[in-house]
This record gives sequence, C-alpha cells and structure tokens, in this order.
Amino acid sequence: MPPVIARHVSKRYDGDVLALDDVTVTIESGELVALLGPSGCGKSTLLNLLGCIDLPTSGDVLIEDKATSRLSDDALTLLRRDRIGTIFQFFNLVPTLTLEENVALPLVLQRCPREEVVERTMLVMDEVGISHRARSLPAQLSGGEMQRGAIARAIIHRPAIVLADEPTGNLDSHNGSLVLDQLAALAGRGQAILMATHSEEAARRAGRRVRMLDGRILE
Amino acid sequence: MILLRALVGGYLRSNALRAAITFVAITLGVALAFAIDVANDTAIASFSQSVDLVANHVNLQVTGSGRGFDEHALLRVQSSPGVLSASPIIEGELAVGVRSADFQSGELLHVLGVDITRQVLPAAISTTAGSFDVGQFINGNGIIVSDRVAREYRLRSGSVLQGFAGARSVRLYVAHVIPPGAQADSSVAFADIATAQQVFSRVGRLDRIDCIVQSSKLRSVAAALKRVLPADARVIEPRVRTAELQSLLRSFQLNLTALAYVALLVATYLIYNAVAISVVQRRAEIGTLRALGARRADIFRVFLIEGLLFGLAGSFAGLLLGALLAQFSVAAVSQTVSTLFAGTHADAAVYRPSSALVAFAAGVVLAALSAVAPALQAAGTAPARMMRSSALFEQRATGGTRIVTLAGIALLAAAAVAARLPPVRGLPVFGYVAAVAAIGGASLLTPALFALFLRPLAYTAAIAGTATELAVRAMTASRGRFAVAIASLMVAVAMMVAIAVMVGSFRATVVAWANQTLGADLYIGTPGASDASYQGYFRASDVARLARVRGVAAIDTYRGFSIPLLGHIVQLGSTDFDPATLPRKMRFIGRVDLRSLIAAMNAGDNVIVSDPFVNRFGLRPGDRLTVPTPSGIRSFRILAQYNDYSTSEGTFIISRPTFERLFADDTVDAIAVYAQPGMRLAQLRSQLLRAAAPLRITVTTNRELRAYVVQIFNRTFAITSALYVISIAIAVLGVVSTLTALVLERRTEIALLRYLGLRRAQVRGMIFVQAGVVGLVAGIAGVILGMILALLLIDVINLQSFGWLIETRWPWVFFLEAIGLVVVAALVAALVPSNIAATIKTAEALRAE
Repeated sequence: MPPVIARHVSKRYDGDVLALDDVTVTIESGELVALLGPSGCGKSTLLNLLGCIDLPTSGDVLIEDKATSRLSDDALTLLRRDRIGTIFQFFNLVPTLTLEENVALPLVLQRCPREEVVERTMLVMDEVGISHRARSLPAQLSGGEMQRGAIARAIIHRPAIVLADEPTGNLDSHNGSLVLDQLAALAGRGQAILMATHSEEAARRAGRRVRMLDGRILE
Repeated sequence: MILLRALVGGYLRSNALRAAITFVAITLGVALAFAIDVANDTAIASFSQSVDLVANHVNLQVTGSGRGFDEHALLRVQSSPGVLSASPIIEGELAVGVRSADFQSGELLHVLGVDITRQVLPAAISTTAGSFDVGQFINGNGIIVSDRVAREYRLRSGSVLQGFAGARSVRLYVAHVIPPGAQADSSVAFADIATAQQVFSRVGRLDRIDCIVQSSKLRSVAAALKRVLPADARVIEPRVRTAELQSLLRSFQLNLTALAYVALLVATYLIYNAVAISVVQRRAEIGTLRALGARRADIFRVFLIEGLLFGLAGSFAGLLLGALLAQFSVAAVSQTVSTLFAGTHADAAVYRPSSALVAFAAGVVLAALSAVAPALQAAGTAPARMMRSSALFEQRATGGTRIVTLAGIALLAAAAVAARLPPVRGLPVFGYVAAVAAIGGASLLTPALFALFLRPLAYTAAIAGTATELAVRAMTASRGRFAVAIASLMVAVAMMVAIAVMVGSFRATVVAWANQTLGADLYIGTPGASDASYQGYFRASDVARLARVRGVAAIDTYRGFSIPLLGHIVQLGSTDFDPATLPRKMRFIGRVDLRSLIAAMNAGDNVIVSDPFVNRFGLRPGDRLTVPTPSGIRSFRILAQYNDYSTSEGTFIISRPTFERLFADDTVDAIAVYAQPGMRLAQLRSQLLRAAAPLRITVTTNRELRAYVVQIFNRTFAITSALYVISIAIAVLGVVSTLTALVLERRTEIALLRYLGLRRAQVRGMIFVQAGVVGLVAGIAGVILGMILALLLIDVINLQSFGWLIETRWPWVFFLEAIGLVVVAALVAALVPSNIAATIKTAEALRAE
C-alpha cells in the first residue's frame, strides 16, 4: 500500500474558490515525485492536504492507510509529528530559536530524551552541512543555510513522507543542486518524497513528474 | 519550555515597550487593590483596638451604652462564681492641640480609664508597667500617651497635657510615654479609672468591665452575670463586639474594595489585548509549530503561561507598589472612617498576609483568565489558515461578532434581572453582579457598536482624505483588536462617569437635605476636631443657662450614642419635638401630620427612624422596636421615617423627655440656637460664648456648618476620585499598547505606502485618526455604560449598603467634557505610536519582507 494516496480530492475555499478539482495521486515509498505547475494551480493546497494541515472538501487523503478526514485533530497532529516531514517554501524557521533548536523541534515535540535529541540533531546537521551554524539565529543565516536547516528539521524524526514546497525556489543554482541531492538521497533511503516546484530542472531530478493546471492533474 | 521560548521569550524582548505597558497596568491594578485592602485592614485594626486593648486572655466583657452603668456592678461581677478577674474601664474623648483661633483644630485622644492595680493590664502598658511611677499615675491626674502624641505635642514624662473634655478645660500630667509600635492606634491614651471618671464627669459610672472567666464555664458565667446586671448592660465575648464593629464598616469597605478592583479589571483587558495581539503577530510560528506536530494543548498552554507570567510579575511588583501606596490610602481611609464611624488614628499600615495573597491571586487569576480566549484562538485555528495571512486570521477573530453581540445582550438582560434582587445578609451582592454583568455585556457589544460606527465613517473618510481613509480601512480590518482597546477605555470612562454621577447626585441631595434640616441660626459644640462619637458633655443646667441668653428665641438639643440592637450597632438619638423647630431640622418621608407626631412623641414610647435604619432592619412606620434601656426592655412604636445622611449605621430617635425618663441621662451633645428676629448673629455668638463660661464652647453659624458638611462629604469621596484617575491611566496605557502593536504589525504596509508617496505627516495623521476614533467611541460608550452603572450604584448598591435615598441628577455638560477628555487622552496616547509609524525606515522594512 503506497504511504500517500489522494483519491478524487477537491478543495474549495470560502465556499466558492475551487483550489483542487478531483485530484487523484499516489506516492510510493522510495519515490521522489515532482509536482509541477504555474502559480495558483493548486500545488500548495495539495501539499497542505497531504501534510495533514488542512482537510479536503471532498474525496479522501490516505496517509499510511489512514483517511485524514476521519481523524481527530489530535490524531492528525500525531501523524504530522511522527510520520511526515515538511519543507516550507519560505523555510519557516522560528526566528527566536537557534538553528539547532529549530532542527530539534520535531524530536522535542515527540518528547525524546534530551541526550538523544542532542545526538540526532548534530548528526542530521552534519549530514546537511550546517553544524557550524548551530548556535546562529535564522536572521543570521544565508538562504541556503536556512533551506538546509528546514530540510534537517523535516527529516530528523525519520518520517515516512517528506513534502517539500518549492525547496529550491529561493536558492541559487549551487545551493539548489545540493538540496536536490539531499532529497534524492532521502528517496534512496525509502522515504516517499513529494516536491512542488516551478523548476523544470528540479523536476528532471525526480523519478516521476505530475503536472497540475487550474486545480487538476494533467498527467 | 522550547515552545515557550519559541513563542514568548524572544517576542517579549522585541516588543519590550508593549510588554512593559502590560506589566505596568497589572502592577497598578494590583497595587491599588492591595493598598485599599491594607487601608481597610488598618482601619479595622485601629477601630477595634478599644475592644482588644486588654490582654488577650480576656474572654468576657460587660458593656454599657450611653453614660454606662453604675460602678457597683463591678462588685457583683467580681463576686460571681467563675469570674477569675474583672477590670473596670471608662472611655472618653480628650481634645488636644486645639488652637484658640480655630476651635475645630487639634485631635481627639481616645482615653481609656483603667485600674492598673488589677490583674488585667492593657497590653500596651503591661510590658513597661514597672518603668514609671504608678503612684503618680493614679493619684496625680496622670495620663499615659503614645510616642507619636508625645512627639507631636512635645511631651515627656512629667509634662502637663492641656486639653478639653467636652467643653471643660482639663490639665493632666504625662506619667509615661508608650514606646513606638506597642499599639495599633496611637490616639489611644490611658488614665487611672478614678481620674477618667472625674475628667469625663462620670463619677460612679463604668463603660465596661473586662473579665477573665474559666473558659469551660463561659456560657454559664455569662448567663449568671446577665441576671445581676442592669437590663441595658451586655455580657459578651470580645469577638462579638469586634464583629459588630467590622459589620459597621463592612459596606463602606466593600464598596471601596470593589472600586479598587475595577482598576484591576481594566488592566485585564490590556492582558487580553496583549496576548491576542501576540497571537496574531506570531501566527506564522504557531502555524509552523502546529504543522511540525505541536498539539493544540501545547499552544494553548504557552499563551496561558504568557498571561500567567504577566500576572505573576505584575502582581509581585503590584504588592511592592501597593505597600508604598498604602501610606496614602491608610491616611485617607482612616480619616473617612473617623469622620463617618468613630475616631481612630492609624499610625502604621497593617499588612496582613491574607490581603497580600488575595490581591496577588486576583492579579494572577485575572491575568490567566484574560489570556484564555486568545490562547484558545491560537490553539483552535487550523495550521494552514494560521500560515496564510493575518487578514484571514483577523477575519476569523472577528467572525464571531454575532454570537458575541448576543452574549452581550444576554449579559445586559442578566444585569437588569440581578439589579432587582434583594441584598444578601445586608450586602448588595446582586448589585455587584449586575454591575459586573453590565460591564461584561457592554464590553461584548463593543465590536458591534464599533462596526456600526465604522460604516458611516467609511463614507465620510473617503471625502476627508487619504490618511483618514487608510486609517478607517485599517480599523475595519482589525476591528476586533480595536474593540478590545475601546472596551477597556470604555470601562474606565464608565467608572469615572458613574462615580461622578453618584457623587454629584449624592452631594446635591445632601446639600438640599442640609439646607432643609440645618434650620437653626447657630450651633453649639465642644472644642476639638469633631468625629462621629458623642459624649454628652453639656448638662441640663448648661442648656438652661444658654437658653436664657438675650436674643435666643428657642433652643434645641440632641443627645445620641451607639447601642447594640438586633445584632448590629445603631445610633440612639433623642431630641426636642417642638412645633417651632421640628420642621426646620427634619425632613420626613411620606405624609406626616407634624402636630400629632409631636404630641405622640412627647407622650410615650414612640420613635422615628432614619432611612438607613429602615433599609437595614426592614422595620417601617407602624412596626414595633424593642430596645434594652437602664429602665428595662421597652417596646417602641415606629411613627415615621425621616431623611438622614449623617450616618449609615441607622438611627432611631426618641423624644427628650422619654430619653431622660428611661436612660436617667440629662446630658446633651449638641445644641441648636434659634435667634430672635432682628438679632445680629455675631452679637448673639459673643453673648453665648460669655454665658457658657467657664465652659469652652464652639459656636458655628448655619452657613459655616453647611460648608463643613460639604467639606466632610468631599473628603469622604476624595479617595474614589483617586481610584478612577488610576483606572483611566491604565486604560490609556491600553490605547498606547494597541496602537503601537498595530503600527509594528503594519510596518511593511506603512513602508510601502511611504514608498508610494504617503508623507510622514499623513502617516502620523492616520494614527491620530485611529486614536481619535477609539477615544470618541470609548467616550460615548463609556458615558452610556457609566449612566447604567450610576443607576446601579445609586438605586441598588448604595441603597442596599447604606439605605441612603439619592436623587439622581445627570450632569450633561460633564458627559460632553468626559468624552472630550477621553479623545484628548487617546490622542496623547497616540504620540508614541505615531512617531514610531512616521520613522519607519522604508527600505529596511521592505527588505525584511
């Protein structure tokens, strides 16, 4: 059973704006899928639904065989906390916490023992190459460092699914390439990755491409 | 902990000004509440010291009223089985420090005549009993005074203390000075029992006997003593008398405390707004944390803790500030208690841990409660919506306006119902409930009222110019937030308006009453600062001598004292019922045939009762009243009810002949003189002063006495004015906080507008327009709510607390002034935020975005 399934999903905002229209998509474990399309086509909305921070108006979103519409807020929260990692378009690092604390957040929320948090945080920061900036605040980091921090935070708790919204959109080509390498490596480890992007070059690094237009899947 | 740091720590640092304002608001609110509590505690402590002065092991007291009881009772008490010790006591007032140019100057010492050879010694002198000449104290007209009195009048052991016991000049010798801190009320002095009897013309009489009895036989001894004592003597445990004194002050203190806590209530609006604003400003972080797996409960807890932290820090600082403010509040409250109830002189504030705990807990709990709504909002919003835009979030925050409005209407309806309910054990509990419901209801209606106001404003703003239009648009977008600032200011204004209406109406009613009932030309009293106690210093022979003075057409007398009745302390008064003077000194409620009333009052056991008496006991004309007198228990018929604003204790009055017959007391406290037509008052005054010799009397004209009444009135309400000024200050801080937050939040938007060509002056104008609108809406709503609260204060709370009938008067010009004042205050509050807005660095703000 694929860890991510969206079946005939529609999403309507404030009663009349149709952001998603009968979308069906699945992502297998170990698969890196690129979600392509122009601004406003519904990519972020689809990511929000798959990331369990929003619910469909109709249709089903199944995360590891659990229909999100039937889950309580607490159950959705636990699903996000334990099984999903999200890389936001604008990094969304908490400005008052250091990079290290930002990365550690998912483990802290899982109430992991302090020693384990410290150890795994250093490991994952080493992995993405930002351990030298551990004590810096987000405002003191470059765009590339912030994005790698966001990736570290998305994978530190070893989620089954990683959702990335324009992960290279705010980066130069060098940093963008590094990020794509890291995403590919994650897929190689068996995680299901969905990456929303404008960039054809980024999409070429994905195993499968899904195009969207006006809230629908084209291919 | 990391969530707290993520959402609160850094945020508070970068919003230090607003955090400081919220902290100061809570500090002021708690400080005020604590200062008033301390003042009340101090008043109670010094007020009840006359009860507790003797050693702690006194467990039974025999007390009399008026001129006390025959001293032979002491022998009967001493010889009763079970009585281990009995100490006689005489109480009297000695005026000291009186200047000849101003006979109302100086102060009254509360002199306790004690027998220090007895086993039971007053606590204040027992510790130093061996350090002074007891023989000199007993046989040489000795007096023991406090350190404060000694310093104030430059006395030491052996000095002569010159004073007035009523109208009689008295010389006493200072036998000893009590060291500082040994007593709560430094105006208490001690004399030997025989000296006190002599000085206060009470030879052969006692006011009180303090007993130590076997505690296991307390009840049986009390019952046995009652059988051998006169009917008007009471045998009670000291705590009963303390409770009676406390109940006397209860309503006065409760009202003062309620007013003090309004300031804290205003401060809680600030916390609500502070936390609500911080929720909006941190919505992105909240959304991120929720998306990462933070639960609703985690987010809720963080914002609740933020409110709690404000509460804890503000309350702690509030206690410190309150302890300082107490120095002023103790003096103000002590003076009012002294004027209205009985003479006290509180030297040192009494800090009770329980009062500190209550004020601290009130600050913390209210702070936490005010954070609940925004914390729920933060926890309840879906993460996706949180992360989208502030406008959407605001929309949701103000989306529940209809429910809020309905809840507001329901609360106002509840207030109307509560206002009609009777008092609970003499306290206007439902009156307070109605006031709180009215404040809550009006606060919940504020968003709807503001929205109503914004609609026409939007049309006119388009004509008024860009700055106004932008200001109105911003207010429309953030109307929920503005509504809270308006509500807090509205509550403070309402409090000011309500108190102003109540005090103004009360003053007008009292002045009208004084004009009608102070109908004599001259009033004779005794030297020294007056208080609410009556000592009966004029004898019948003095009155007769003054009545014979040439130019005196008629003379009227009054004698009164406190007596315990129906579990409370009330005033018993006696006066002349004369057709020539009665209409000039009393105003009756309802139709009263004066001729038949006078005849009935002079003929037998009949009484008239004051408004507060009727309110307190529910006894009305036609009912009967049973009173213990030295001649036995008597039943009186209530014939009429009269207006009285001199005391809230409740007074019943019997005729002079009846009083003399039943109480064997021919003394008089005050004398009113009616001049013959054409007589010059200055001349009559001189003649009266001469005729009174060797008595030293004061003669006050009608006009002077009325002015004195107003002066006492104003002094009584001085502290309430201080309370509402502080509430207004707290609310204005709220406006500063809200406007600053909105400016900081709209930093980018303002920068963009500046980039596109909006001038600095226009940016400032935008903020001033918002402040002006906030002030105007709060002013109008505050006046309306204030009128509702005034009606509750006058017709429910005051009536149920004190029984005073007040004719409501609406000061329309003052209402306009109040609205103007609030608008000006709001504009002043806008100075800081408008400056912040005008100096935003355009490039920096846009780059940050």
